[in-house]
Amino acid sequence: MTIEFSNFSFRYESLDKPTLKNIDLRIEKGEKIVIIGPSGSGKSTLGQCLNGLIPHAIKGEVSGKLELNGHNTSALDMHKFTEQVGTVLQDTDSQFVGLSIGEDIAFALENQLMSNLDMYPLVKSTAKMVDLEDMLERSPHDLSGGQKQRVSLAGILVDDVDTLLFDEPLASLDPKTGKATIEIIDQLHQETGKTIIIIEHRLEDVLHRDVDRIILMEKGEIVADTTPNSLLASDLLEVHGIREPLYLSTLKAAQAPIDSNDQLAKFEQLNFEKYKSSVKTWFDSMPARHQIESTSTLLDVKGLTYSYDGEKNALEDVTFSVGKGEFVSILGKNGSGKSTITKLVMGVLEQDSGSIHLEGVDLSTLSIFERSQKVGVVMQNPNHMISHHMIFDEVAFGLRNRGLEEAAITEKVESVLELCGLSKFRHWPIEALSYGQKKRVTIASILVLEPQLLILDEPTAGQDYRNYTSMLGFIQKLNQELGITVVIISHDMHLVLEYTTRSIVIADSKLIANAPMTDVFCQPDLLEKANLSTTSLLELAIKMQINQPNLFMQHFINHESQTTLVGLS
Amino acid sequence: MNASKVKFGISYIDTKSPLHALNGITKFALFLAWVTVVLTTFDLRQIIVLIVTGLLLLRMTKVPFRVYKPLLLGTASVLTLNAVFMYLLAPTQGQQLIGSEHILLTLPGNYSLSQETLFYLVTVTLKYFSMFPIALVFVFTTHPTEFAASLNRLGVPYKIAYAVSLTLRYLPEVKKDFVNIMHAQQARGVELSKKAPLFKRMKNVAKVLGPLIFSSLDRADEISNAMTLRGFGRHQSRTWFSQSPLKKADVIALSLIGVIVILAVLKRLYETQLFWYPL
Repeated sequence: MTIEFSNFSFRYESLDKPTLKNIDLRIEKGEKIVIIGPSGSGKSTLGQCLNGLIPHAIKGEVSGKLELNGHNTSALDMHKFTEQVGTVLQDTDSQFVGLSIGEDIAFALENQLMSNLDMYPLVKSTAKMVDLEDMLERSPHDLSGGQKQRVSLAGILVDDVDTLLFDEPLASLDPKTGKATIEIIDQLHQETGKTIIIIEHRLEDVLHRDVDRIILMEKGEIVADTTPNSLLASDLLEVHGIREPLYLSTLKAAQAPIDSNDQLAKFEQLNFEKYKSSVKTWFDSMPARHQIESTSTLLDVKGLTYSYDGEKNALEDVTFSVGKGEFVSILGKNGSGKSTITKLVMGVLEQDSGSIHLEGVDLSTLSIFERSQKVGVVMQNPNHMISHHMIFDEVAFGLRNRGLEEAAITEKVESVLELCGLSKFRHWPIEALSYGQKKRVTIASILVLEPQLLILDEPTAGQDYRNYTSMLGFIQKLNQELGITVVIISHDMHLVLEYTTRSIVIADSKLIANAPMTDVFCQPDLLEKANLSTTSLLELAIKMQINQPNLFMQHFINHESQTTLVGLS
Repeated sequence: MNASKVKFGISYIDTKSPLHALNGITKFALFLAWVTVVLTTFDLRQIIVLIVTGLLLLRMTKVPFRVYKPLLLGTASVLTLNAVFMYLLAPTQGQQLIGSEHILLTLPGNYSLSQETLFYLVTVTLKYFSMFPIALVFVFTTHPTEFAASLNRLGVPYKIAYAVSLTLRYLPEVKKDFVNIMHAQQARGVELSKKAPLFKRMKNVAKVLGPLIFSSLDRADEISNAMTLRGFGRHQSRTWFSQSPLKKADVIALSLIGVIVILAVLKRLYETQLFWYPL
């Protein structure tokens, strides 16, 4: 099926300005396309135009033309769209409407009035395409994120559509599962010849397998429509706030001779010989490493064990400590128990055995609220934390509960809002903020309590590179200038690599590593166990025959943090 | 082990028992028939037969006894309490209904306990109780969407029937959100434990509900988009993956149920005395 946008614009009913402006784009049958762009660039809106949600479920003003197979879509019914374009949504939980895998795959068929005698074999064979044929009876609660996504995919494939549209398929997946997803999509593309459109901002992960073209969007317009190689050789990604593949950033940092004729999109196809000398020279210029001085212990966790159901341990005998002023990450796949640690530190759960001390004080002697004065926890979803209408009240809430004088509260809240760059929004309602700004509000509402330890659960989830760099830059500033100890819980390898100094790795409820981050990242076997993957930085170091890959990583990180600092100031 | 960790839930448990093999419609019909029969009778003999059969069916589900033991005990104690209150409100109900009076225990006022009232209270309590085992059988052995499919087949519009199934699907997610929000609020000094006075606690729970409702509405929006994208609501009706045709066992069971219901209704119509009292 060919897709053609000509001079296409769209404005949401609730907004003043158009979200898509004069889009001209043609996608041929069987192509594999990636659409990238920062948050708010209109890439998801473009997807919604393709699958018919716009104009059928989401209202707004359309101008220009969108043609599917040469037919103008303005007259098409919703179901004509769904017959041609299958969509896998970002949030696989919302897409999984059935109570079992089989049922969910059959959902589209049920709606088409297919008799269930015809349904069974079709569901079974579709499930086989994504390796789920033995689990048809399983319910969504028993599945991992990757499995849920495969169910969503099967639920679309069962309908035999021409075009598959993936809306940020990697957003909630750990690195290993993300790679597997890209492989499945690629395999489907090759076996069925369907048109594939992937909307994503994790470019390096998408490029794990070949793509034909990349469309770069910014502010509702297409700014580039080109091959992966020429896009990577250009500076467009940097200009528009998209993260380049790590190996490429390294090559650029080393000022290696890159031109648009180079094969840059696939790591394996890089011409390593060509870049070797400049990379080596760059690495040799690394200044001697200064030792990080050891500090006194702030958080001390010993033999921590917890079980939700009394049968299976979510955490088993976990022991580690965090020193004052450190910036530490806790890594592990979804469900490995890493969030359980936070809940135990917060005191909303009570450990079965083991102890947690903060500055020598046993936390079990303190109430949840008393603990929250010392340990601030920022949850993944800001909507779960925010309970007030106005920003000022939200930030002041914890202080008011503490029973402070209103004058003192005002002073503290204002200085925190200033610190978080939220001063000008002081009297705004929270609904008017973007997701990233809401996240900042939640951080501000915790910081105002002046905790000694700040724990952030998946701070980058749902944010694009530009937002997340400024967010993490801010947290780093808190760490370095105010001396607040920070623990980040994440499976985002880039984040961990660039900002934290030490990693604690949890896999299947046990602690499997507690070492400087660069050491952890040099151990593929260890990462494998935690469903993480090595970064292309390590692979580049190996290809360049550098025998101290951890120092190589460190050099790159130092370089990056310097350039970001320059960029911020 | 902490007591709060014990799994407490009434949900579908697949043990592959013969009852699981029956069609959802059959089980739903059984449940409705059961309730009808119970409502027609005040006959202790019939009620005891129903309870024994109900408990036997519950055993046939092969669901381990420990799963439903707390539920049975809980219901029994609530119903007993209910009987006590009935006695406190109307201590002479039995005498009035049966028309005789044999005092067992003399108490002040009109609170003397008569043999008739005692018998009446036992009958009523057991009557209510007899509906409980079969409700458990239904829940344990019927997959929720099979239930939705049955509802649809019995004439309930499919959009409503599917809403039932969706509720069951997303209840655990909403519960997860609720717990997260509660934790976040607790950490900022909202007291939700028994330490706070009741009124304050209710006010604080309301603070959790706000964000919960908003996050649930967001979710509902996404789910509805996801369903639209897969063609939900396109036709006047839909088919059901989890609906199976009626088998021989179902037909036999349904006929048996039908006969029993008719007999029970006939008994009720020809009964001279509504309340069976042998003494």
